[in-house]
Amino acid sequence: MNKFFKLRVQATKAHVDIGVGIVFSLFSIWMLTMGIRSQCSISFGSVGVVTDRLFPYIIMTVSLILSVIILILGIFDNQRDKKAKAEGKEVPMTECSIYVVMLLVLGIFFNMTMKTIGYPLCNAIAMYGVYYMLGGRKIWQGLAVSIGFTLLSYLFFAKYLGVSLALGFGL
Amino acid sequence: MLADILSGFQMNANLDCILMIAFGTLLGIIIGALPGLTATTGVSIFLPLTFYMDPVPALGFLGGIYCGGMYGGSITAILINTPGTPAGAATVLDGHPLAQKGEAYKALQMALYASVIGGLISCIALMFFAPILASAALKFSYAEYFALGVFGLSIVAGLSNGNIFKGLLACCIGLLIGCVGMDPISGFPRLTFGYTPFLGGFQLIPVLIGLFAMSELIKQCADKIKRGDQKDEIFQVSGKPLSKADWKRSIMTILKGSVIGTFIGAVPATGGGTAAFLSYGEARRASKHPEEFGHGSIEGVAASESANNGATGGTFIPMLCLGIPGDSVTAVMMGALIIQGLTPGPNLFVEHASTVNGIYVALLISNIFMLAMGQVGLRWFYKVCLIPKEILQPIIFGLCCVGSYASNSSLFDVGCMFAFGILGYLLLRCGIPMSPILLGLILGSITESNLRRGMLASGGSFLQFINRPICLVILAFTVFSLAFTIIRMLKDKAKGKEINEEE
Repeated sequence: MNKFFKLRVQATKAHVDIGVGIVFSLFSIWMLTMGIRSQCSISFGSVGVVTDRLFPYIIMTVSLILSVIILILGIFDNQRDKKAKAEGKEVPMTECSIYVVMLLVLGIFFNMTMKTIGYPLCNAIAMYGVYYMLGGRKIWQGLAVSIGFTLLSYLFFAKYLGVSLALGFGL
Repeated sequence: MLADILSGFQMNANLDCILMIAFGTLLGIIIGALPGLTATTGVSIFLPLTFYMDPVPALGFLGGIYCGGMYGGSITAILINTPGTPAGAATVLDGHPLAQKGEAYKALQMALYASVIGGLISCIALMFFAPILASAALKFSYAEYFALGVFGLSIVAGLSNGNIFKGLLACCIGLLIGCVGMDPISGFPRLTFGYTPFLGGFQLIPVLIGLFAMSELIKQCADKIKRGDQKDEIFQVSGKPLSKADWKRSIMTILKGSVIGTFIGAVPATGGGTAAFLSYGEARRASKHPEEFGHGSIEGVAASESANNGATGGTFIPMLCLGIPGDSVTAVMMGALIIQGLTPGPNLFVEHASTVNGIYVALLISNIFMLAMGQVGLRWFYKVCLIPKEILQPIIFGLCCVGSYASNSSLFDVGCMFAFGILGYLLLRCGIPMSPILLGLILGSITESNLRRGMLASGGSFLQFINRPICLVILAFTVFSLAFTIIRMLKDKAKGKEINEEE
């Protein structure tokens, strides 16, 4: 299990830049051609081009220009990296941990279960999950941290500040 | 002036307020001392605690975290060669060599005193200069506000680490996120994709916690898993205290650093890190012993610490007067002001003058608390670094969840927080900085509404923005600063210099 949490995706920075350039270019083009038109209506009182769509159009045009520049610079960097690799030099890398997926799972769990099983149980489980993923294997320590914090935060937010934190199970 | 300061003291003269400032300062020092947790993260995590407070204790609490966090970064910089915050990076250069020589106590003392003096000087500068700038800004109309918004966005993108194009793209992302919801002029729904919860737009708190706290948490956790149980070497707090000779040598450096910090802090989007390095460079240039810099010079510690805490008051000047944050922490604090129902800008000084005075004095008090706490805890604060990450990170996770939920008692906000946390982590990995996204989100609606109001008044023409002299100067300055940054970046690239895009 520990090996699984250490999984990570690696790529050169140039490849990442090319990816960023492509994704944002495509998104900008879609927004400029279809997205804004379908998602922004023109309200009463608009004069000429000064409509609800004006600002999103400006943003997406700038975004398209920037993503194309990032893409072009990424292509140049990639060529430079190829030369560097051929000369036996190291190229700048970036990596993304599998942990991001695990946090996403915990987030979905928190959102889906909080109303039904209540904040105390849901939060304690999610916190124990984080503790476990970080390599914590002492059960009592994990329970003390997750239950202790949950109890304190419940007392502070629900009892002192009056935030409505569900207890769950119809309570 | 004196009456304003007295009214500020009056606003802070209650036990709740004083306790909140003290608590904030203590939390700030602890957060700053924890490597990886910055003052921005600290303010984001604890922002939800302030929802139910009055503006002055709320801002005093957050201001305490800010000031304490800036100082706290020096503790780990000196003792374990890892700055707790980016602003403490310059302190490592001389602080850690001093610890290696067995003079850690002296270095920690100098860091504390220089931080306090820097903080106090910058608070006094804030008290004097903010009202002057605000009264000048009162003459601004929508055209100037639009120009200021564009200037703020471009300068933040330009000064964000690394690639300016990515910084500007981050601004666009923030602006687009800010467009979701009701149109600021017509009130028509926009970019909601038919999803009802999007009608209200994205709330600032979950976005903020997600981008700054959750993304940082994911990064920290990933690093912890990668590094395993590898531990840093911590030096003992040992050695003699500061001598008269040390004071004599450093006092001018401290004063100079405080002024540099305040000035640099007042330039939008710079902050403590830039100020610390500039002050360090100046101290080395002016020193009688420049050869000692980098090998354990007490002046080096004094220069960087006075400047990074000197920036704290300075960063409040553009934020309070113009609504443009001085750095990422004040960007978050700007969100806190908005949540309190206060709109940063010159009108704040007219409509809520006593609150503004209260904020000045709260910052002043927090620096005094920092001195007292630092003095007492000098030998103990480093122990927070010994807290295992597997205990600390779940607590931060829990605070993020409950904090984002507490703002509106809405699970949609918790979902947003997770979504923005993951998006933030992925964007960070791609070298896209976070601060411009937040700025885009905050400044977007001000920029858009002023642009459209101006264009509607002139029948759709943009010319009147150029016809106004102040507006034209600001726009020209924006173009100039952008062009300068782009040319510098492209030159660096051509020379083959590697750009560090990590925030």
